[in-house]
Amino acid sequence: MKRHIGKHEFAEKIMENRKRFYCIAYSYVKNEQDALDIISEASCKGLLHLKDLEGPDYFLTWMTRIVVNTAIDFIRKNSRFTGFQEVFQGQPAEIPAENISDSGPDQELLLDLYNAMDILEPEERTYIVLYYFEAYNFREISEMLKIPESTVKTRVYRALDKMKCHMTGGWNT
Amino acid sequence: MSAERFAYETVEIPDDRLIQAIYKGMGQAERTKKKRRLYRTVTAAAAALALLLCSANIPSVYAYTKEIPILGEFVRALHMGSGGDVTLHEDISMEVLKNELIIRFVRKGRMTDTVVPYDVREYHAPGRIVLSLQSLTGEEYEKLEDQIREMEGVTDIYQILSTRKDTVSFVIVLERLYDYEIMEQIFPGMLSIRLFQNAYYTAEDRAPEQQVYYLRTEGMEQNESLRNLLDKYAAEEPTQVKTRDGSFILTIGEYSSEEEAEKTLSRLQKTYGGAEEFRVGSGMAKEVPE
Repeated sequence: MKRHIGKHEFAEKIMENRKRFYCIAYSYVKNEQDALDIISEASCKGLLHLKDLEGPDYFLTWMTRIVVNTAIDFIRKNSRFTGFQEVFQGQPAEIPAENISDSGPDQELLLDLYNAMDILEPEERTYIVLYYFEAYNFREISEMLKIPESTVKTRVYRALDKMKCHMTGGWNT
Repeated sequence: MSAERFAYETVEIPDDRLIQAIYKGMGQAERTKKKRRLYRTVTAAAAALALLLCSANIPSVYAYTKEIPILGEFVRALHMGSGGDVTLHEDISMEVLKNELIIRFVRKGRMTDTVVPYDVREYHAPGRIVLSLQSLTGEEYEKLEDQIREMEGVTDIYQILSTRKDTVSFVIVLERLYDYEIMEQIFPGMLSIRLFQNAYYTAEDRAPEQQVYYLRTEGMEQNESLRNLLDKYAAEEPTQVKTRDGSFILTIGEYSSEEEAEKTLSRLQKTYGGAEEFRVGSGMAKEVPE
């Protein structure tokens, strides 16, 4: 049965998952202030549309969708890049070395993957963030974004291909 | 290392600021929702006030408070009265949204859950609000004064002597036809001052240009003798008004007829052995006394 959650429960749940949401927002903008602005706006939107939430079990997927959409909107509005080409030529965002605790090949690879995301369109980034860094499966992402599971799969692989091309120096447009 | 852990460990999370950002967003949502709800209430209240003003001249007691539950806590919207709680803070932060000023209190980089104790009163001649905030430093007041002075609907703002040592009191002189609302929110603490044009009067400009009578002293400096008078007449709840030449007077009461003012004056003369400091004065909402 559909049970609405209250404002208090909303506040509790968003606090519980705040770091997760922040990491998602950050992976889009790679900048602290912008990520915080996105979280702020997403919290506002979430609370305003609380009655659209189907039930407490869906909170995480529902709120993640809001964060993702807010991040995409944010990039659109504040776009400093005019198009794909420009991003492609730019250097990936740098992550300070002190934040890397133990460096193995595994981690380096992940860092490359994390940085290579910058070449993707905001929507494409969503799939990499959710699938790899947030460890959601295809079915969960499909529910979250309200698109068929097969489409999710295709888009994850397409985004990966694009990144692979970039990382190996090839062009794939 | 899993990709999931990687994302968490690579990204440095400014947790304090993150919590603050979430509070800010939720507060924004509450305000948006409340404004929609409040709009009707305020319009109704403005109409009720206007009716009162027209029929019974100056209402002797005009106060309403109401509390709206929010995030399990509450918000208080009031016209006259007091609220707030002991709130340790190091700084205040202000946000100006058109004709609304939002004050938040900051401690250790975080917003406090409550707001400092405050008291608000309204007077009609001249139309003004007297706001008192506890445990505010002079520096914080100055920041506040600068912001309020810039708001639409504010003619003047000046500090007055406060009856309590740790309290800052100040007067906001409103432009004609302007009304206000004070809103308090906790968790996180937020105090908002909103000024708006009184819907009832703007339509046909029917503000009663009526004369208001009160007892007043001669102009004085903000010094010991003014403070002594304040103490002496404390029971009469005197107010401090800045005059046109920049000096300050004490006023007592607001009456719709000269007779009522005279009656109070003779009572004062009996109680306070002459009360020769006071005489009957009068003025209109937009009139700053001489």
